[in-house]
Amino acid sequence: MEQAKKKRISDEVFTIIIFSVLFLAVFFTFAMLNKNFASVINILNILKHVSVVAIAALGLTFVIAVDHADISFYMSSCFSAMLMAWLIAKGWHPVVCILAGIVAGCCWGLVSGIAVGKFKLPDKISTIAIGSIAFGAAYLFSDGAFIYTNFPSSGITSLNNARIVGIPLPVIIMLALYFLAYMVLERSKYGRQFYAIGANRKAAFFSGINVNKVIVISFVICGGMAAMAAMITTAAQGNGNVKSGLTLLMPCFSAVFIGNAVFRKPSVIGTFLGAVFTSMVQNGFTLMSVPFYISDLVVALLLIVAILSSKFELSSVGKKSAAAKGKAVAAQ
Amino acid sequence: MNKKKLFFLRPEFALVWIVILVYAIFSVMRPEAFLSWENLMEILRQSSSTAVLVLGVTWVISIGEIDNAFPDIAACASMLTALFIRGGMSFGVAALAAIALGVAFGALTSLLVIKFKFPSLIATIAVSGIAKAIACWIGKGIPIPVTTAGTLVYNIVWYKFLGIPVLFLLALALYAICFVVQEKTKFGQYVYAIGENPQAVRETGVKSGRIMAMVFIVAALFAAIGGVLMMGIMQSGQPKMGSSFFLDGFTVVFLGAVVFKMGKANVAGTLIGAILLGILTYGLTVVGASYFMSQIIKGTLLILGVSVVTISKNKQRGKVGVLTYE
Repeated sequence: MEQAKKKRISDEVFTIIIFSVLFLAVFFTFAMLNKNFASVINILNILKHVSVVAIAALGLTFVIAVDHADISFYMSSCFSAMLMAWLIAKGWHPVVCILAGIVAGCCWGLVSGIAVGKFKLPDKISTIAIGSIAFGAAYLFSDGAFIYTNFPSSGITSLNNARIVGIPLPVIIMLALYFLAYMVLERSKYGRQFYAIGANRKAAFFSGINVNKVIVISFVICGGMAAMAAMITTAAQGNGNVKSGLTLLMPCFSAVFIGNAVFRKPSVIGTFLGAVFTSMVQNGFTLMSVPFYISDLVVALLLIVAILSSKFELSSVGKKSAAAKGKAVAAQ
Repeated sequence: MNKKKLFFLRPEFALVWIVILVYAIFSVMRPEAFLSWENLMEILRQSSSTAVLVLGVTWVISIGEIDNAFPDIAACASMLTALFIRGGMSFGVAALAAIALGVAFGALTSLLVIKFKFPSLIATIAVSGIAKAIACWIGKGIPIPVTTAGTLVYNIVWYKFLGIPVLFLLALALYAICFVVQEKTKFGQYVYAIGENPQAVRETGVKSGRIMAMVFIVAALFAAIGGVLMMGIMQSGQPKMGSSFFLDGFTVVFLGAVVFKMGKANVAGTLIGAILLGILTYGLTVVGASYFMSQIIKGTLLILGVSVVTISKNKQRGKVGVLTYE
């Protein structure tokens, strides 16, 4: 038993080493190919670019942790973006607009959460339906047109341009959210409930966890985080774009599952590394002026390779632990 | 008792009545656009390509997995056909090549899901990313118009045989084949057995991995065929047509799961679902409904379908012991 545990740990360390080597290799390849890649300005740019995907993926981490999937978040983020833009065009204060957008995102998450957590509908299909309704509702504000009105004067763009001690504000927001999520999900009793449900729902139920409530909360967090991602995109683009969130699906799932592959469970740090990794690759290709579809292709391939590498075992003992998808970790 | 009830009054046939009801409502609202043989046939023709696209997804849902990749595989197949035709190939050869590539995507999905134990959601998200990227790559992100596709594709798409569109007859033929496979072969039985209890099927000694692999490959095959047909209809390869089929496809399959086999996705039901969605799409366009309205209606229908499926499944299984949390 003792030995089995040791071997599993060495397997995990092995995956982390593989990932770090891959990460550094990609970084230095880009740095060699392009002089600007490793500059401070570009690294800050990457982090700024990361912040959108990373924040949305952070919300998704909670849903994946309870062993569900949410396919509505990227469509509900479109709704939040349009709501914010519409309120700004109406001349409201940006803070109010942002809060309204986040509340709207949480509400869409609540709807998904109730459908999945309370009514036990199949998660993937029902969130596709709810997300599509949210995406349709995003067309209510301007019939699908961009919203520019009031944007430069309202001051929402300063959310994107502001810097605190030289670090862009979106990056600071991202780091703050990640710190908060880390404390909640991995350093508190409350956060263990998410993993307990993900590992074994029945066991969680019998240990006195309110399973339905925690599932609903995870979806609400996911919706709210998606809205925050929408807020940063809206501020960065300086307009309300109905389709702003549609590109989030693959990078977010990649980020969470690359993290899942490296640390053998959906974790906050893993998601962050996954998000940085995918964004770094996208940014690297953009600097080399490679068209967007190539970087999409590479992100898809990375997702496959990352998960494959976690299936690679040093010993046969570890195989069971991988199949349990980190359940053993949560059960400890 | 149940058997004495006339077959068309059973709850399994409710959706068929709904289709007729929806058609009747639209006919009352806009008689000039609905009440004629030509218009009915036009609706059937337009539903045919969607119907073919999602035919294979039916079985993916039946075995309890999910396929996110089918719209992008269709888009990729349509782009590839357009590319080959522009490169001087005949339509038949180009279509076959595109369909072969579609099957390759299906093989990749099943390799990831069955051999490497990926969750099907992640595997298909990755495969759809690859398919979408290749579709955009082919035309550098813009559609490829095809004007020289030849008479074969023109006949398939527009020709009418005895007043019935050939495209619809083609879809009907494909559905008939799949219906026979589903109802009369071991393969069809195992598909539903896996959906019910994969563990039990595996332990009976059935090679369930092979069956699941086949299901994913068939889904990709029909998605590719649908994509080729869409190329014929639109007269161009469309790299981004995938997104519009995403919601439609699942709505069709889950509406179909409500008919004939209560709570289980099945081929005949999917055809009825596709026709209902075709009538709705056509009707909403004629009435002039906004994108928001149509999206809400489709989304609500999907939720309704899913709810009925879930409820009927719970009824079949019954509640177990003290586990009241479910």
